Amino acid sequence: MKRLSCLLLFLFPFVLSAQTTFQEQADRLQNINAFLLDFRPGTAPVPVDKGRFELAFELAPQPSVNTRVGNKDEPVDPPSIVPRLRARYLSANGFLIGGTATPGIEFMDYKAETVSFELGYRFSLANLGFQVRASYSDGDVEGPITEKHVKDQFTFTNNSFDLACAKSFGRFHFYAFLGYIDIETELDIESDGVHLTNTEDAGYGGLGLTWDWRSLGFTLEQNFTDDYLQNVMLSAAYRF
Amino acid sequence: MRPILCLLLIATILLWGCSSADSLGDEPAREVTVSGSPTWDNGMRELISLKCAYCHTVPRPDIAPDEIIADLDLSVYDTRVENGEVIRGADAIGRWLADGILDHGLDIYQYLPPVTTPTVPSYLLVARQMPLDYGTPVSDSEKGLFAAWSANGSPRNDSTQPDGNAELGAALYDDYCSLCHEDSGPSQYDGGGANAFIDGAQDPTRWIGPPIRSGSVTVEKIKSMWLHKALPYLGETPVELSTEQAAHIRAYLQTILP
Repeated sequence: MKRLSCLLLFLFPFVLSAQTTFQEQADRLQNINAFLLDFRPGTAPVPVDKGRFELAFELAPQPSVNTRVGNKDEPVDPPSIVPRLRARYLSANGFLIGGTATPGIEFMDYKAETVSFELGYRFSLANLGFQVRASYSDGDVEGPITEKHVKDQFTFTNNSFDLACAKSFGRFHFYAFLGYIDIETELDIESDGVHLTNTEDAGYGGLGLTWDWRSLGFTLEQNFTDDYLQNVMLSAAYRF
Repeated sequence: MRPILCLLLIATILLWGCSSADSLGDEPAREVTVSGSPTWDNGMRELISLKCAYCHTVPRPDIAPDEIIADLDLSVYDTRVENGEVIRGADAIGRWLADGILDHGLDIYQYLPPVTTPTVPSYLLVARQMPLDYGTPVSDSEKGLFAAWSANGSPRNDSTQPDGNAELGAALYDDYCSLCHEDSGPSQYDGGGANAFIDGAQDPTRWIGPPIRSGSVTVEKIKSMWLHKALPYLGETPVELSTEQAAHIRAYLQTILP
């Protein structure tokens, strides 16, 4: 072993040890923010007998994020809960189409404009509901990301694909899903002209429970993205 | 309905508590360690690439701030001429390291001829502490590597410096170096190399510089300084000094520096 160590020291007189670089930290922060703005299933994939619309109000509590990059703590202070309105149409033959948009509302010094679409297909098999779904999201968030009182700009584009499966027990529908996401992000820093770009792909998954009550459906969904992000989403949907 | 909604809400709160995001914010900075004397070929290339060259490359990368020195390329060692412009390499940063740029900002006013300062952008007069606060931090042991490398003249490797002819070196020095370093001769060196440079107050058109560190005079450094400081300001097309000529100048400096 000692001989091996000497040999390694001879071959590699310099050694990269320890942990991270600011680029990795900055990329990770961009990834997390893009993932949190992704368009996940949001409800149990239960096929329907006849076409119907769903209007859902989603609440996405945001996990606490350590914003340290290098020796600097970025002063990002986003809302602790992000609300979103979502519309979805389910056809009798199994197709679904949905979307959401955030029309550039300024809130707590941040202005966000996002749009998301989804296209999918639901079917039943062996008493289980299945869904394959693709989604696309993009948008930008403008506000004090790296310094207070500046307007930095974060932009993201997400492409996702997932497969979901549901098992119903009366009005309760448990579901699970697995997916793959590919993102592109950019961060423009106003104060010194830095432009950061980042691309990333990751696997994601989740578990959820939807409870139907009359024309309403309430869903709790736990998301896992890569091995470093877990977040929850709560939604209430009206069906007609 | 109410109990189930309450259950969903409680579950949400519990899961929210389990929500987490590992942003790497609490991870320590990556650190380069070097066995033996640090040279460009022995660890400094990796260290400078990791901690400096993500911004300091030519052309300027997107990740670099707007107000960055445009002629510094730390992804390579050698100062070079590119399209008629001098691009400084890692062989040129020893002075900044010696002056403490890793610990505090530098007022580089002292290195500029006072009559030209109004035309020089302000960000070139005050160098910010490196790395910037959001950059990958430099550890104390890495600062030690930078200091040792700088004190040794920022060498490329540990090979012996080539011999030169001091007489030939004196002529080259008089022709091209004495503009800033004053005329040759031991008397100019304050009896021991304390300050090899003229006093700017005596002639405000001249560059003023820090003392030459006798242990830091390498052929690489002389060639870098030649391109960056001497020829461009003489109004000539930058032409590289040969290694042989640099060795002559080094030999001459060895006769007058302690």
